[in-house]
This record gives sequence, structure tokens and C-alpha cells, in this order.
Amino acid sequence: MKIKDFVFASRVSEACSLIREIGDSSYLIAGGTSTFFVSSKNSKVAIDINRIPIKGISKNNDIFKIGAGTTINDILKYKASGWVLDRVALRHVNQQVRNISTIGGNIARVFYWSDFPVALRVLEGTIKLSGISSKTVKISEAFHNSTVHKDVFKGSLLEYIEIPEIKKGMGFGYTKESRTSEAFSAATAAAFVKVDDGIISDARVAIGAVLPFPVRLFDIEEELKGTKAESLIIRDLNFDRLNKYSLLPREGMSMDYCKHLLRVKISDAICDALKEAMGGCND
Amino acid sequence: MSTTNKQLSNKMSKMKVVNKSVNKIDALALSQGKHLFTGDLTPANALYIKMLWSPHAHARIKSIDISTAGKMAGVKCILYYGNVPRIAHCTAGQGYPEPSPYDTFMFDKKVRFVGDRVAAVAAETSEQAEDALKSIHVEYEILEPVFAYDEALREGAPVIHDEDDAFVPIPIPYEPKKNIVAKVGMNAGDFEKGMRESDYTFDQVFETSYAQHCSMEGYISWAQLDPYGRIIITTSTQVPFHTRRIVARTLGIPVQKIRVIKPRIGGGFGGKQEMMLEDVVAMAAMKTGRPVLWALTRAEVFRSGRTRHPMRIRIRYGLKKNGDISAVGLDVINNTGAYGGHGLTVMSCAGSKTLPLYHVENIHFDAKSIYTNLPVCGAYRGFGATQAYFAMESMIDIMSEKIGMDPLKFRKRNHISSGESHPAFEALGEGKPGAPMTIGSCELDECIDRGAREIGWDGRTPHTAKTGRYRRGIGMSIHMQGSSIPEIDMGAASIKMNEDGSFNLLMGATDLGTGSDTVLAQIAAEELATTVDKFIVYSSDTDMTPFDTGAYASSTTYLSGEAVRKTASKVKEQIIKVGAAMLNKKVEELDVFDAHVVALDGSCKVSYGDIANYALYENNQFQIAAIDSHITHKSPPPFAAHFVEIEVDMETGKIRVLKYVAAVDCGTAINPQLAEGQTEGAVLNGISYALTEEYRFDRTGKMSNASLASYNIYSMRDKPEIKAIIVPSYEETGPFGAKSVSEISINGAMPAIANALYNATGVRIYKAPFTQERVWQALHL
Amino acid sequence: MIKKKISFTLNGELKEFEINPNERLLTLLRRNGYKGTKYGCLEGTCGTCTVIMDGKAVDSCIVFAFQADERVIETIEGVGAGNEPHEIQKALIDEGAVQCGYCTPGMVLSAKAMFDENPTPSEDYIKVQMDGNFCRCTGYEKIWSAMKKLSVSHKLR
Repeated sequence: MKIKDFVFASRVSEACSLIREIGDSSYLIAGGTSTFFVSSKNSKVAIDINRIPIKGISKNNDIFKIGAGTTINDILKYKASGWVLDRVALRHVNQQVRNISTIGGNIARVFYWSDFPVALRVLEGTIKLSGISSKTVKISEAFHNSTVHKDVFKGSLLEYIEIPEIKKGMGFGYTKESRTSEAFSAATAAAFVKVDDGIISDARVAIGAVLPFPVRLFDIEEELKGTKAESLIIRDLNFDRLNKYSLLPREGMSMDYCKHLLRVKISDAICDALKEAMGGCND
Repeated sequence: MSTTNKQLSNKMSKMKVVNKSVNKIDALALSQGKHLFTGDLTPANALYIKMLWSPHAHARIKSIDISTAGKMAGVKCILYYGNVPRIAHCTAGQGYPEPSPYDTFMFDKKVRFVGDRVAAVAAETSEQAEDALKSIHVEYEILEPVFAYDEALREGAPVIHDEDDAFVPIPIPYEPKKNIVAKVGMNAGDFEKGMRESDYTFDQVFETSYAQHCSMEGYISWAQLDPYGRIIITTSTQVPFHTRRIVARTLGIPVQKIRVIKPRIGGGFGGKQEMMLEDVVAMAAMKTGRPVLWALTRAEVFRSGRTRHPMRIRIRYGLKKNGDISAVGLDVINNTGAYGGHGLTVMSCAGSKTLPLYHVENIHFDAKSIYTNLPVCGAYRGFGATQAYFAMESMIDIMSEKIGMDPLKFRKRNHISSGESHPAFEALGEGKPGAPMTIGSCELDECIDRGAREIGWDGRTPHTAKTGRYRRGIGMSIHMQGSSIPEIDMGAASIKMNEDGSFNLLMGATDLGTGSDTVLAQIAAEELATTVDKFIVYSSDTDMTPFDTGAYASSTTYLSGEAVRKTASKVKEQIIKVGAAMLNKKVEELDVFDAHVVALDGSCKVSYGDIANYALYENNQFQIAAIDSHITHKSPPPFAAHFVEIEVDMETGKIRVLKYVAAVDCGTAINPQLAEGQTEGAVLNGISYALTEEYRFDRTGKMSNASLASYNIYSMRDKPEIKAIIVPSYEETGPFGAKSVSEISINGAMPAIANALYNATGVRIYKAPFTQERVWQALHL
Repeated sequence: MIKKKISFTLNGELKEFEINPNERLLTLLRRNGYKGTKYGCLEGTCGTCTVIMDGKAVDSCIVFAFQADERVIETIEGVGAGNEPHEIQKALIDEGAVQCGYCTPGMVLSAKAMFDENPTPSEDYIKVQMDGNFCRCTGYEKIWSAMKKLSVSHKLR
């Protein structure tokens, strides 16, 4: 993408009026790494939003509030009980990119290899946007599919993301398969489970990379819910349900292997989540 | 300690500079980011070149219209087949005349791979040049492309080089109408008989794929005319002298008109053993009178640069129950891509650098190099041996298992040793017979023993003992390479003394980041009994330094190093003579020590500074200086034993390398730290070549993952623990006992990992790279 | 194409530059003579163009020049110039970690950003912090060991 001009915004309101003013040719830039991947016939006017104080992570009660301008590296370094996004950040490209890429950029423009949307889909929570109208949207709604996602974000500025902490009895698993540490993902999976008295009371599973936009695997979640929290149950999961997705094998993989790999990665993510929730899963 | 080792340690203990890890002389300036590379030295008023590349794998250009582009803003010149000389040449920088077809033209009416040259624009800015490319209108007649070995060789296959002006400059088999670039072969003993008389026979096909060097500095060159109209080319090359010759031929101008300067080079690994961009920048500079720069983008480097030859190797063995190898047969096809510069030499080395490693009397070797409409292959560290060792060292493990022998013992029992020869040395050269050779130094057993200890070979358990999702395995492989090309390569150096006792050391030898400037200065310093910091080293510049064939074939330390040592020895003689006059002594009564000429009886001495002053200013004045050259009659192999421990995820097929040990006998390591560095770098390159690096092509023959982000080389985070062990030996024919070290250690990872995979899982893999999908298929299908 | 002025602190000195909006920081630096910043891939993968921006290592090939406005940029020209190399440069040189040297300036800057923040990084931490700098010559072994030695030497405390 080509940039023909740039302006700086130092407040949310300023950015919002600039978006309105410049219209379709405006392009928000926080880290700027997405400009390598977005193709556009017309050159754009960059609105640099880096000066807007929407950076940093705070915890209030059980909720983490993550400023959209928080870099992946800050997410990696943040330490608090119940904080799990550092695991996602650790697998994000490389140090230079972690230093400049923001979580806002990663979830506002979703590419197939985007890491955080997959994780956020299972962590749930909300996103706060400003723009034509200020709104708080549930992640489950905003990421329902790519069309909805585009609509939600269009003409808006993402201010922050709120996610609940992972408490005792809960677990989060995140797996990303790539040839090298900084390579594009060949399959990404994330899982969240809640275990009460040895029974899975809640479960969320999402996949990415092999699809243009990450999806929640609701039927697998239903299958998990109410079952005993043991690693063995993963073997019994009905993965045929994945057949309804037209998977896009990445990085030179065949469709057969892509499907197989996805099953393994989903199983691993659920397994890790269960392990965290109750210290199970030993294979 | 063995007798050889005792003699060795005596020789070593006398050395003051050699065999010491002195700091690399350019390391400080490099670490400070000083302006040392081709792109840092470009004049501000340089024009920029952008190339229109062929989007088709195989097509004829029916028409090309440059009129609109030529009038666009900033455009100064457009080059295409219609306005440059049509002179057949070979871009590969090897001996001369090359054992290669002259099948390349600066621009041609035919394009032969996606990424072939169509037209070049030189403009004031790279954006203007890029814009102009879009306005060049080309009409193609699309021809059927050829991508696979069998397609290329099939009767009636499309002919890739159907032009009638391609030819070979020396009499070697060249059959372009059959897409055959070259053939080599040899036979010794009676292969069929050897197979018949063996207890077990083995027959297996192995395949390797495209790969690229991925030097951090890509291809880049610039040229300008000097005030006298000569063309000065500054370029990132491993072969400045070959480049001068090839550019002269391609442009149809005398060698005298061209000066090639090689500044610091950001890595080569074989990729820059070639004239790549220099003809175009020179031509554009001549046409415009302006400095002209051309730097390829990373995607262009991948698609249009040089690559490692993919090979299909059928390997047959006959084995006796007692562990004797009774016959070996190696049938190699290499795909050299659209142009054949290194086709013959690479496949020749697939035999000559591997077959001699083991005792076997009955040998069959047959190799064919073919054209396809895929990217051009060239030289790459390991040079054919890397591919062949995958097959050979996998088979050694397979054979050992067949007779129930520890593969380590099997190797020790059968490998070549000091004092032995092999018919392949004489039979296989580069377009002509090679040179007969008896192995001098060989500490391969020591390499095997020390490597085995480091990896914990004794604790290795068979695959049958392993269970669970993650399984560990240990594998090994051994190898040899060469040191220079005997009777072909030549290196030369000159040394001149300055009045403070410092020396100018000028060499054709081409430091491409290996540290050869430092290593060769150490050799000169040792011979002259002074220190490395007394040398002003300059390499290489075709106007200023003596000739050298270039940095390839593991030749610089062994060959150019001896040229430097000989030159230093001549200078030493002159210094002693002047010292004798000053001290009033006979030459026989004197020696050099600590930058002085000293009397052997300790009675008197005079410093180098005083000697140089005396020679330059005082009496019978003359310049203390010398020049000398060196060729070799043998190519003494370095030897190596590699060991690897891996962990395999049985569910995904992913291989993780846990530890890698490379024990190397490179003769005297002139600079042990740099020798380790060469080894570690080659090892990691070998590991990712075996596991993750891959050229993927779409249906049109276009590389679809032409970026560093998806080609998958390793970062520090991916690297396993790598332990390099330098095992000393002394090669009598090398400078201070040195052989080579740069290439050999890229050969080990592929077979060692394949053997470790078997040890972990009981499954063999015959096709590289061992992507997790391929491993998973081998495990489960 | 319009030209615009920006200014940032470059190696401790406030400087003004005229830029074009689509230009990357790498291009801006190199055309102004800061050629220690090398270019390797122009796609944010190899790290040869690493500079330090507000204390963090970034690839100057994927940062727009305008993004540097009002920031603090350090390039290799500002690290251990002259005969006074930085401890990181000394460590790399002594360890034999400089081969072709094309990746070295970027490597030095990534290391500097790391050590500035944490003078005693662990072995694994080093690997993660340095994962954006490719080197094809060394296999990273000597670069890694130079960093490990620096970490335990406490020279950068």
C-alpha cells in the first residue's frame, strides 16, 4: 500500500474527526506492519495514532483492560495472575515486530495468520470503539465473521480490549504450528475450559491460520461441556465436524495433513487448557 | 598420544600467530556499521536499474515495445535484446575455458524461467525505473514448459535451448536438443561383478530439492566510467577476476577496459560465484555515462538468483557379511534449471567428493545434468557432495543395520585413511580428468571418537526401545570435501614492506565474510615472524591485486594461503639480506624473530623498521617486495564426523534438533575460532536445509514463497546447541599444515538427521527436506 | 509527491528531515548518510536494518519515516563509534561472532536494546530477544555465547 500523506492524532476525538474528514482514503497506523499486507489501488492518508494514550495494561477486579496501542512486546512482558496473553505474544513473529505491532492492529485488521483474534475468541470479553458512535461490543459478536468484523471496525478507532482473568478452575491453551519461530502459522488453535468438580462446565475452542478468518468450534465446545475433565476425552472428540469448513492448507501442506495437523493442534490446546484448569492430561 | 600427534604438537608449539584465534581484522569496522559494502559506496548521482522479469517459464518474445517507457520521467536508458550485443557466455565463475555451455546472453528473444531477464530500465530513481517497467509492452509466444527430470528427458520434449549459437568451449558432451547439459561418469573394478559377489545388495533412490544461500546481503553491483573511459565495477562477488573476464566477453570489450572491485561482502556461500548483475550495470554505465546501481530485492534474489541443484540419486551397494563393501553404484541426475553454468561441475563433485570416503573396489558412477524451465542452479557450499552424502550416509546406516553392526564401527572399519588413494580422484575432474592423490593427513577416527563422546553415542538405544509421542534419536554421518581444485585453481599475492616495518598484503583471494583476509595475514605474519596488526590487507581488486580464481571450492586457506606464505618467504629472504648488510653478518648466521633480524648466536639484531628504512633511504635502495603464485597438485580432503540428537513428535512429524556435534579435521586451523565459526554456520545452514527450507513452485513454475518470511531459515531462537570440535592434523602440502574447513560441515545434517529419525522411530526418509508433513507421512502411511 | 518535514532525536541530536510520506525510515537514514543501517529483505524479517526507537529494537524497513517524528532513534553510528567500541561490539569481536558482518550492526542494536533494559538476561531470554536478527554465517553460536558472557560479566550493569 502506498501512503500519500500523513497526519498525527494525539487524542481519540481527534483521530475520530480525522477519520470522518479524510474519509475512505484514511488509514489508521499504529505499528504500521499491516501496510505490507493490505493491497489498495489508491494511495492512502495515514493517521498516525501512536501518540494517543491508549497504551498499557491494567487490571480492575477480574478484568484486564488492554489499550489498543499496547505493543505485543508489552503484552509479553506484562505479569499478573490470570494473565495468559503473554503466551500468544511469545509466539508472535520476532522481537522487532513485537516491539512495534500493537494488539489493536492485530485484531482490527485480521489476516489469516493473525494470532490474537484466535486467542480472544476463546477468552471472550469486550472491545471498546470510538468513532461515529462510541460502542462496546462483545468479542463474540465483533468476531462473528469477517463481514461483521469489518462493519464493526469501519470508520472506528479501537480504544481498548477487556478480557476476564483466568481464575482457579479455568484453563487456557494456545498452540501455533510454524516451521520456524518467526514463520507464518500453519495452524493455530486456542481453547478455554472451566472445570467444576471434575466436570467441564464451560468450553470454548477456536482455530485460525487454515481459514481466512478465525472460527469458534461451537459443536466441539458443546461436546466438551458436561464431560469429565480428562485428557482421554480428547481422543473421543468428533473431529469430522471440521469437514464443514473449507480449509486452506498453508505453507505447502496437503489438505489431508492440514486436517490432521489441525486436529492435533486443537487437541493440544484443549489438553493444555485442561492441564491448567486441573493439572490433568498426561500423554 | 600417537607419533603423528606428537610431531604435530611439536610443529604447532612453534607457531606464534598461526593456530591462534586472533580477532578478525575487519570485525571492529564491521560491527560499527562502517561504509564497507557495495551498497554503502554507491555515488549519490547513480541511476537505478530495475529489471522486467519474465512472467513465463518458457516463451519466445514476439515483440517488445519500449517507446512509451523510454520517454517516461527520469528514464535514461532501456536495455533489451534489440540494443545490446548478442554474445553467448557462461555466467558461472570457474576455471577457463569453463566445462560449461555458453548458453546465456545478456538479453535474449527467449525466456526460459519465471524470473529470466526481459528488459532493464535505468532511471534517476528506482520508483521511476519501476514505473517505466509497467509501460514496456511485451508480446510472448508461450511455449510448453519443462519442470521435471522425466519431462525434460522424454522423447520429443520441448527444447529449452534451441538457439544455434550456444556451445561448449571445451570438448565435453553437450546435447541441448535433448535438454542434456552434461554427462560424467567413471567405472573402476567391475561393478556388476561386485554386486553379484556380495551377500546383500541395496538399491534406493534419494531426492533433494531447491535451496538458496540467503546471504544477508543480496546481489548488488554498481558501475561507473572513470575519466579515461574505463568501466569500474564495484560488486558483491566471490569471483572478481572471473567476473572481469566474463563481463569483457559479454560486452565485447577488452579485459583491459574493466576494473572489478570487491569491497566487503555480506556473505556468499557459492551464490556469488557467478557474474550476476555486472554486465547490465556496465552496459548501462557505458550507454549513459552515469554511475549505475542495481540491487535485487529479496524476492528477486530468490527467483532470479542462484540456487542449490535438486538431485535425484539412485544408490546401489553390494555388501559382504563381514562388513566389506563390495560395490557401489551412484546414478545422479541434477536439474540445473534454465542455464547450465555449474551443471557439470556440481554433479561431478557429487561423485568425486563422496565416493573416495569408503574402501570399495568396484565402482560405477554415472551422472547427467539437465535443463528445466526452473530457476538457475549454481554453486552452493558443499557443491553436489551435500546432496550425495544424504544418499550415501543414509545407506551406510542401512547397511550396518543389515549385518547387525554399530554404524559407528562400520564407518571406522571402512573409511579411507592416510596413505591410501582412490580411483575417483584421478577419474573425476572438472571437464577433464582429475588429479591422482594419496591421502595425507586424516584424523577421521579421532573425529568420530570425540564426536561420539560428546553426543553420548554409547547411551544410544534402538528405536524398538522407544515409546510415547515424543521420541528421541541419535544419528551420525561422516564426510570429506576437498581443498581447492588441483591443476586448475591459482592464487597469487604480493607483499611490500613499508618503513615502519608494516607490510601491504595484496591478494586476489576474495574474503566474502569468511575471515580469509585475517587468516591469510596470519600466514604471512607467521612466515615473517611479525604480528597480524603489521599488515595492511587489501583484497580483491583486479587493477591492484594479483590474480586469484576466487573464493570457492574450499580453496582460499589452502591454495591462496600457500601463495601468501611463498610470497612472505621471498620477502623474508630480502629482509634477511638487508639485515645481513646492516649487521655485517652472513645470511646463514641470521634468522627472523619478533619483527627483527637476529643473529643465531644472539649477538646482535636489527628491527624491521630499521631494515625498511635502510632499504628505502640509505644504501643500495630498493623496495623490499615480492609476488608469488601457487597452484596445487592435490586437493587434500578435510574430514568430519557429525552427530545429532533429535526429538520427533510422532503426532505431527515435527523434528526438533536438540544437540549437534561436528568434529572436523581441517589440518592446522590457522584461526581456530574462525574455523569453529565456519563449522557452526555450515551446520545450522545444513539443519534448516534438511528440515525447513524449501522452494515451492506454483503451476506456472513461479516460486510461490519468495521471501525470507516464508522460505524458513533459522533464527537464534530456532538453533540447537551446536558443538564444533576442531581435531588437529597436519597436511604437509598446505600452509603450516592447513587444509580447508568452509564447505564440509554443511554435508552432515541431512543424513545425520535422517539416521537419527530412524533411530527414534524406525522409519526412513528418502526425500528432503524433511518437512513435518513428509515425516508424518513416512511415520503413518 | 508532497514532501514534509519531520524531526527526531538521532543519536542524541535533534535533527530535521524532509521526507516523502511513503518513505521508510531505512531509506531516510541511508540517503542521509547513516549507511550503517543495512538492508536485507525490506519486509521486516531479517533484522539487518534494526535501529532503536524509543528504547526498542525495530526494523527500520517496516517503519515509515513519519513514524519516527518526535521519537528518539539510535543507529549504529551512535554506538561505540571510533576506537571506543561498545561492550557488545567488543564481546562480539572477541568471541569471533563477526563473519561477513552484514547482520552485525543490527545484531548490536538488538543486543543493546536488550541489555539496556535487562543487563543480565538469561540464555533463553537472549534467544527470544534476538530472534529478529538473521545471520547466515555463524549459526548464531558465537553471537549467543558473546551475549551469555556479557550477561554474566555484569559489564553492562
